[in-house]
Amino acid sequence: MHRILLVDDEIGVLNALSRVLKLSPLVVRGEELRPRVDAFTSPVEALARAATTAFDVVISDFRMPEMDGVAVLRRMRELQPDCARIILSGYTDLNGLIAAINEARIDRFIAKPWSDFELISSLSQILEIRALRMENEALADQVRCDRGELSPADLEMKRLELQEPGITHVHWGEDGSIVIDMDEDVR
Amino acid sequence: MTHADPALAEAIAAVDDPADEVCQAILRALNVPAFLHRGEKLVCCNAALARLLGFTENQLLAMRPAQLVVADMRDRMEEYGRACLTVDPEPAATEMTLGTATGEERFVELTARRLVISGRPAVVSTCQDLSDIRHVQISLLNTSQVLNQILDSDPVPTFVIDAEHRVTHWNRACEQLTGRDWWDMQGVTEKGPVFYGKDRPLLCDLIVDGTDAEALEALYPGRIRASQVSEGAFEAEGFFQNFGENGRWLFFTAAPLRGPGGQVVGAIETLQDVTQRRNAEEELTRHRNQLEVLVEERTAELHSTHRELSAFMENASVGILAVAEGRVVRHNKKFAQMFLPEGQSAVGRATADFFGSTDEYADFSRIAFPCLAESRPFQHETTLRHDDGKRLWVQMIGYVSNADDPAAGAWWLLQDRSEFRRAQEALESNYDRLKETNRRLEEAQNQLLQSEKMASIGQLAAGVAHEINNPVGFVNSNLNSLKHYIDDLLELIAQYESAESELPPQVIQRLEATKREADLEYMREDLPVLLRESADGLARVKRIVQDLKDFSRVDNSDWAEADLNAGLDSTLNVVFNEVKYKAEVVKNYGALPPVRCLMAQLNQVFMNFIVNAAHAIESRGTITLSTGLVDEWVWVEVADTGCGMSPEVQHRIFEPFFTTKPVGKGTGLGLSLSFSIVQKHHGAIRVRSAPGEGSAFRVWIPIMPEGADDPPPMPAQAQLESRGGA
Repeated sequence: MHRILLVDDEIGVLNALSRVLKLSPLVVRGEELRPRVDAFTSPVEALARAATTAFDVVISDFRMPEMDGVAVLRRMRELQPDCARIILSGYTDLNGLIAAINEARIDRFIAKPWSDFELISSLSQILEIRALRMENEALADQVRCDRGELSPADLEMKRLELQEPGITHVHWGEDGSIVIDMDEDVR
Repeated sequence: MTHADPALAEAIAAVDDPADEVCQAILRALNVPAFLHRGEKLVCCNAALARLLGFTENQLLAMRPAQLVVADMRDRMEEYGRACLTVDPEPAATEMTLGTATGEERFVELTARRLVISGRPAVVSTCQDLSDIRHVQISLLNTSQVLNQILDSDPVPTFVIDAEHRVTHWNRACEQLTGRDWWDMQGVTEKGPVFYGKDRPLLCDLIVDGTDAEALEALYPGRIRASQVSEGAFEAEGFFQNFGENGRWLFFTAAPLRGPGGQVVGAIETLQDVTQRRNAEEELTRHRNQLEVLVEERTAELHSTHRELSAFMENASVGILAVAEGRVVRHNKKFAQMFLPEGQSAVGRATADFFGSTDEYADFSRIAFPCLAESRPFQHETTLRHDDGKRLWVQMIGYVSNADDPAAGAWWLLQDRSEFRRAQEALESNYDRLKETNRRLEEAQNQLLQSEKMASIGQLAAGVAHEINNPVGFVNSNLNSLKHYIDDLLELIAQYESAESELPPQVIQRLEATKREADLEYMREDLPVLLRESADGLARVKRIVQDLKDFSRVDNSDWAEADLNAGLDSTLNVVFNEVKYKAEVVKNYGALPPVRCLMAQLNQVFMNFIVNAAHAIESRGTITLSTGLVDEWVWVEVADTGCGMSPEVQHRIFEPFFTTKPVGKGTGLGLSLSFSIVQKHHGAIRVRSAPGEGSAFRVWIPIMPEGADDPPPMPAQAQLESRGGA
């Protein structure tokens, strides 16, 4: 199941994007994909979801009230390094663009107003590249496991972590308790 | 001659003898009045007596001697006659007054002598008529008195001395002058003290002494001279301290008085008081001397002034020139320095020589001479010529030498103002440059203002663009989705329609009614149009936002060499949709070299021009696209046959947000954006337009190699065309 995370303070943009993604299938390796879309007007809520749910792609606006797109994507990179990052914005200054590329390591910058076709093409391409990379990695891990460089347990942990980000980590509180409140975890 | 004894007298008278007769004859022969008596009646008388007394001889012979005299003298006469007869010696002659027949008196000196004729005494009396002598004496006396009076009343002090130097006359004026009375001076010989305070001879004394002229000259050196009026007289002038309050100047003349034989018997000296004259003379002399001193002083002053003036003239720092009848009369050193080779003089030369040409001299004369002719100073600046041909800019001040005679010539002051003139010209050119600089500054300021305006507008636009981009983004996207939905819906409806026949009739009926109500057929046709129109509208919004974003874009580093003709063509392709219904497009391209530019931006400029041209054309017209190369500049022109622009509009077209288009058709940013784009290319936009005659926008872009900072000089053609901003 492919999932896409959308973050934009404008509900109209979220709805429009959701419709496009619903209407136009992404084509990855000749295969039509209809990814599930999670849309948030709040970057904080989006990141909270990202802490528990693995996404293939995240598309974020640049200027938002709570935090800017670079910060959202930077955090996303920490949470899910394999998730592709896209900024969709009508306005960017040069510094913001530099930060987006260098810090958030974005895969695409798409200008508003966007063209649906362009968007779908970009997403398809990104997913294709991502799939390739992940397949490479999985194959490499398999080889490592075969060679004994990687234990089957480690392999399983990686697989689990991919499916449920954070599941392989325990967040200890200062008093020795186990912290499961995700809001705190976001910070 | 009578006798006191009448008897005797009778006896004598009775005697008639010849001696008596002789005696009587002698008596009668005498020419002096005479008579003979013997103490009684006259015995005999002569004609002279008869003439004297006016009686006849016979009348006389009847009279007694006493009867001859006037009544009061008869006794004396009687007595005298008796004495003559009797007394020895007979009495002396006596004066008697005889009475004439007419009663007049005759003074006579009567001399009686006793005669004895034939023994008888008789008295012969002769009369000397004293009347004339007396008359002369009285006359003399009178004359003397008159003379004295004349002398006395003569206002000129005068005195007279006799041969013995005694003063004989001393008139009243003399008394007043000398303060000495006639009584004091009468007979005085030493008169020196009166005049000189010491004894010394006076001029009259010398005259009396017969002193000759040389001796006089010695005594009165340089002052004495012979009188012109009277012979032998001399005159001299001298100061006499004793007289008057402060002494007197006297002009004294001494003349000899001569006796009947011509011998000098005295001298008369007149003393004329000439003090006043002398004082006047002295005053005059003093005055004259003063005058002379004054004249000398003045002359010296004049000399000094003249010298000073000459020195001043020579050393003056301006050229000074005296001119008469068009020729130089005099000039100073400075003039020579200004106009002549070393060591030369201009005296005698024509003033016209120093003018550049005879025409210039004539021009100068025409304005200068009328002014001078009215004796007004004349001031002028003109070019003159040094002898070696060098031109000088000279300030000239002229004034006539003699205001009463303007033809007498003029003085000219000449100051070399060439340096001043040069400085002035430099100043003027500097001023012009400054003005030009100022104008450019103003222009630059205006452009700066424009740029600032645009920059702030850019910032605003950027913010606005972002805000608009969000809704535009999703609306645009939604439109696409909607199109999908509608396609799907219409497909679905088509499927339903195809299945309609399988439905029960009442359902079909209901469906038909609903379909009619919804006008499905029309909806089916109109939906694509609606969507397209919405997409078009959205595209317009996108373009506006894009313009705004482009407008706000400060730098764009896509500088590359490009073919403007190709750029113009591609732009035309983009906007051809807007143009094709309005105008026929005529291409008139020249050969252009590649130009280093921001092609995308220039395309935008061309697009603006073409779209504007299309908008300016109301129904149908022509848009002419031309390009060309002049020097190192290329130009691209978009001309239309549209409505044209008024000068007011032309003036504002580059202002942001200024538009003449109806709302929704223009943003007012197109030309403003074009302006800043062309400016970025160091180019210019020139506009030719007139209301009703269409407009032509021409962009001039310099061909600048990479790295060049300054554009090549703008062709005159580009400068001459009407300015339209950049």
